[in-house]
Amino acid sequence: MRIYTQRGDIVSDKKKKLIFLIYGLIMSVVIIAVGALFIISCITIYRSAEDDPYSREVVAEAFSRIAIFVYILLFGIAAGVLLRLTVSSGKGDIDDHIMDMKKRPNHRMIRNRLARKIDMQSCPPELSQKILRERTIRLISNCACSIVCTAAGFIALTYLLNAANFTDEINKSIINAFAVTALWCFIAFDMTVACSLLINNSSIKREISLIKEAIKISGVPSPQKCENDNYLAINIARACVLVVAVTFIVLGVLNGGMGDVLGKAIRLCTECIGLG
Amino acid sequence: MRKIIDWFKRHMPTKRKIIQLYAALLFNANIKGFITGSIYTGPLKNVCAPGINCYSCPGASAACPLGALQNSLASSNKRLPYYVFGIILLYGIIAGRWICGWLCPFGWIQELLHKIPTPKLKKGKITRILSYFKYVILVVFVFIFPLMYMLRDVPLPGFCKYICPAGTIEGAVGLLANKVNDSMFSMLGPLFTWKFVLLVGFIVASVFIYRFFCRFFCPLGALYGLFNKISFFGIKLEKSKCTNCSLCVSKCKMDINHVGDQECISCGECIDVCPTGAISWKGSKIILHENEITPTDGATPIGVVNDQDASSEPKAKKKRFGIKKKPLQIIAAILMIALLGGAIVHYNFLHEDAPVTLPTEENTDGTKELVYSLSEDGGYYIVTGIDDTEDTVITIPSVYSGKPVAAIAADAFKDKTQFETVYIPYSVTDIAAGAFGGCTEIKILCEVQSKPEGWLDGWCESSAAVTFTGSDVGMLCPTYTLELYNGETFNVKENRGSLTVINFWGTWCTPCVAELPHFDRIASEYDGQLSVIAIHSPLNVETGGPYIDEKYPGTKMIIAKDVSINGKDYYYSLLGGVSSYPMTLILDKDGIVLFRTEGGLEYETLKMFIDIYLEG
Repeated sequence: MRIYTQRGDIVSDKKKKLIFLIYGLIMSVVIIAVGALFIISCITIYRSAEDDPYSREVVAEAFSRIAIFVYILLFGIAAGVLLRLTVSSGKGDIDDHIMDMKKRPNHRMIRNRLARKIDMQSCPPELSQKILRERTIRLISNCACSIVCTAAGFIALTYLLNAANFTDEINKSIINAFAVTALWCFIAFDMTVACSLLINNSSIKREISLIKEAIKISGVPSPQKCENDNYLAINIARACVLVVAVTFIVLGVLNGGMGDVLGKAIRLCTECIGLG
Repeated sequence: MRKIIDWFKRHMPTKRKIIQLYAALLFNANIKGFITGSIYTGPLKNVCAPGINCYSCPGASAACPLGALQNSLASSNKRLPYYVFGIILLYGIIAGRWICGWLCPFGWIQELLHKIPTPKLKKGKITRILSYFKYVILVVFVFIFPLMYMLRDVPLPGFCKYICPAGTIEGAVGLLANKVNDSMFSMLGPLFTWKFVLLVGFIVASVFIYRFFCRFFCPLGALYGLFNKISFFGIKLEKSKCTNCSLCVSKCKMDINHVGDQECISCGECIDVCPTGAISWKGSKIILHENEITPTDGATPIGVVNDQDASSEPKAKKKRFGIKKKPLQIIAAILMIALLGGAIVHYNFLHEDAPVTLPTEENTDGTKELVYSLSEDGGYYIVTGIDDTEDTVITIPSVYSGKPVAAIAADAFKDKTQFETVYIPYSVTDIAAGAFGGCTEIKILCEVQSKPEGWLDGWCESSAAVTFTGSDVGMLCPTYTLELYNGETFNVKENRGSLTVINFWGTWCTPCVAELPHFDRIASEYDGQLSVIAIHSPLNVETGGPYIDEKYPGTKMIIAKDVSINGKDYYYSLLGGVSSYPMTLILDKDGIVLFRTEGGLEYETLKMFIDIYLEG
């Protein structure tokens, strides 16, 4: 395979795609395999002894068994760097081959843009009623989603803000608190939001087609200027937050909070960094 | 030649990558820490780095804002965390999530991993929904867990302890990689296993998913994202120019709904794809006015890649260094290089940990049967021998009759095989040859760290055990007087004759607080056979006494205070502590260090060691 085309510049796009595809698939397998091996080795060491399973010798021995795969991975990364430097024509080139950069329509933004173009009063009544109906559907969907999310959050907080649920068995309490409540509540939140997004998306698509029909029927659109953000409000917010921040820092220095930050930062709490 | 220059131009890193590398070096400028295996303990750790950079990394030059926030919340019943809140507000209002895109070392690591050319998982609606998970992490692990356990007086930095991969890779792995910290391996258990598995998962996922941790897990990014709209630096969108073509959203690898929202890390890659020039940097002006994007003097705003002439023509091909090289930028670059150079010089060459000096406590309570003679110049006493005595442990005082005891004569203890132990004080600087001749079984315990120059060769001809003062196993523990919480003092030397268990702890330290019940139990069960001394670190020392009074009333433990000297925890450093709490030592009846460990101890382990040592 020639590196240079007859034009003398770069490898042709098709060949580039093929090279990176093959390389990518191989590297994916190697990376996942090495990651899995690291995890298995770590768990094996931990389960090998009840007390003090870890030592430098044990860790070195365990990882020497998977060293060959790590070397393959490092070699693959080096090869990838070389590929980028030689085959690729520059930044973004590989992204074009690896990631699909097709423009994906953002229906919500299209709907907003189109909605600015039409005047609802000049729309035919049936069409404006249908458009209003779609907006109502979305409003109800968002409200329902908010209620469910609020309820899920309330249930989670009820458990999390109950001091009795946090016992001296810290790890057990944390696992219970997170896995049993917060996680399930978040799953409920996700599912609700996903349903709401589905409903909203299909409603927006219908509204877009209705708006386009309205534009066709009502003739020349009257464009409305899109207002920029309220810069006065932003500037006021900036000033307030800045003043509060500086005040808090000064208060913190005066009440010894800065000393606490230093004191904690120069002393290792071993469990806090995962040594436990 | 032109082809080579073109090749360099195409493959040069962008400004953002250079600044990310710069930030990673600046926030980890303590390169000496990787060699010595210890963390920087200087005053510059008052300041928090803007991004996630674990304080326990040997190279870390500043504190981590997330760790500082959790620790401050965990002790908010003692002191309101104004300082940390102020720092985070300040960083947020200045830069928002621009910090994530330009300054965070862990974000940079993820981007490097993502560069490996493998198939990538594209963003979509699901990833957008999952991006809210980091707010759950923020509320639950960063706020609720530390606050709820603060009510129980247990410091618990929830995110640092259970999730943070930066702590694992920079702190835990960074420290364990150095052989000096081999003793830390004994601390590893289920928590480390869990965090290591999580770390590997994050690293592997980052290869396939852009900024996996930042998008779905990072609570600091969640906090900073709340300021994106009003921060001084970052990306902004001129809605009057925007045609909603959504090219920017497609190009962006983060889960944004629109440019500049809470997910935007202000990387600037969308600026070049916008056909109408609606996207620009905010950093050119502090106060925004409507419809003003470019300064009125016509100069190109700082950070702007393309001309802001509001042309509706499609943008030209992206310019890597398309900004005009103004003098201001050159000065900024010089200042940045000077700052990095200064930081490296300060952390690695100028900052020296002050050495811990042994205490020199005068001791006049020597063995009474010792015989002294005054030196020729009358400035000090020489131990010349010893009268008959039934004592088997001989203590030479450091002061006798108002003058120091500075020498031991030849034959002072020759063939005195009835003695088991002789304590030589720090004041003795001259021991004549043969002073301990013939004493093969005697233990000579010297209260100096190594053989001083004045001691002649042959002062101890026999194979008698000679032990110098130190903190390692087998060495003589330094003697010192501790201040107790009840106002009394405790002298370690006076406690010789029985086993001594010394534990260094702090109310701010979770494993310390967790293992304290074991020491209390040991102190009760072995009352009379040993002493348990719990020494609280200087940090939050005022909380130690009330904590013990509340949780362990009537305890047999001796609760003492450590002091801070030259920025060090004095007694902790004296007994060999470097920076990690808790630390436990066990001394035998002569004051020799039998056992020393850093990290938490289980009751059974402690009991096992004590039973072994008590049995002899």
